[in-house]
Amino acid sequence: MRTDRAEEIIRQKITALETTEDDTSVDTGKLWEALHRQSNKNISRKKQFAFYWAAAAIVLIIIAIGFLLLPAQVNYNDTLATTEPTDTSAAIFCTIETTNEEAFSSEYLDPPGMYAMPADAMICYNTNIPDTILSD
Amino acid sequence: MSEASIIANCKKGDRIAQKTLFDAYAKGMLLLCRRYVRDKEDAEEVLLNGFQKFFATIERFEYSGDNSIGGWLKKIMVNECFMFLRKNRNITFVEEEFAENITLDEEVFEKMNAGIILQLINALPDGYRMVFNLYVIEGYNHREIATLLNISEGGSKSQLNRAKAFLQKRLVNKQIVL
Repeated sequence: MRTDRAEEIIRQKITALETTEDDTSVDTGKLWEALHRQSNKNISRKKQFAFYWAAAAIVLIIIAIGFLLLPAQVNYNDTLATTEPTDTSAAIFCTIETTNEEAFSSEYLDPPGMYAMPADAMICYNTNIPDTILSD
Repeated sequence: MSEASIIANCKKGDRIAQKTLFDAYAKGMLLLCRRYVRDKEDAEEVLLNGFQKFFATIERFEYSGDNSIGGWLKKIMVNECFMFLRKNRNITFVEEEFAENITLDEEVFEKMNAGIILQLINALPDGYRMVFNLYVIEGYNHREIATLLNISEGGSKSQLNRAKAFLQKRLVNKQIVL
């Protein structure tokens, strides 16, 4: 409880003035419109912010997937290096572009089963290739 | 429509109810904002930010009688005013103790028109005005003011007494017409 009577009078008068205030120079309609514009602007800012975050997240996911796939490919190439054929007359030096083992086929290779890899993923750069492979 | 049902409709996002509430309180709240932020356009900016916060957080508001909306709005507006002033003005508070304990002349204020009292308050320097408004009109205690303004309790008391001395001096100098 405040003991200063003058303070109490000031508080009561100002509170009453603010409660009953009807200043005709204040255009509440205009202020309401401004409030609307401001909140719409904030909403579109929020949308813009969400869009940028989503775009950044997608880019990060793509980069992460790239990093995950890279070691798998390197490992396969390492394995491939150990299975190089000894018969260089019909050798095919290949690199692989997929790790999908179900797609692997060795039926056209010489000797068959020597090194398994998907036939459609092979990039071959030895010209001494048997016709049985090229004709298919 | 009662205030309770206006609040209930506002919670549902009803624009008409929101506008009814805005029309009822905007002028009074603008006056409150101008007690802290003197410039009219700045005060209007603070008012709009305050109402935006009010509508954004209305879900948490529990209607508990006639003065509850006004009370809640006042708290939001005062906070908005401080955020605005902190961001835009560099207000310094004199922390030195002000030995004299000033008592305002109640008879003078009893006779005085509310509009003139408001003019007197608005003429106070920024630091004095903030403490005076918070203590005398909003009813904060010195500890709350000290926390809000990041000053000591003694600093808050000192600012209040300096504000009162300033008002008294203006009254004595008869700069205010009764």
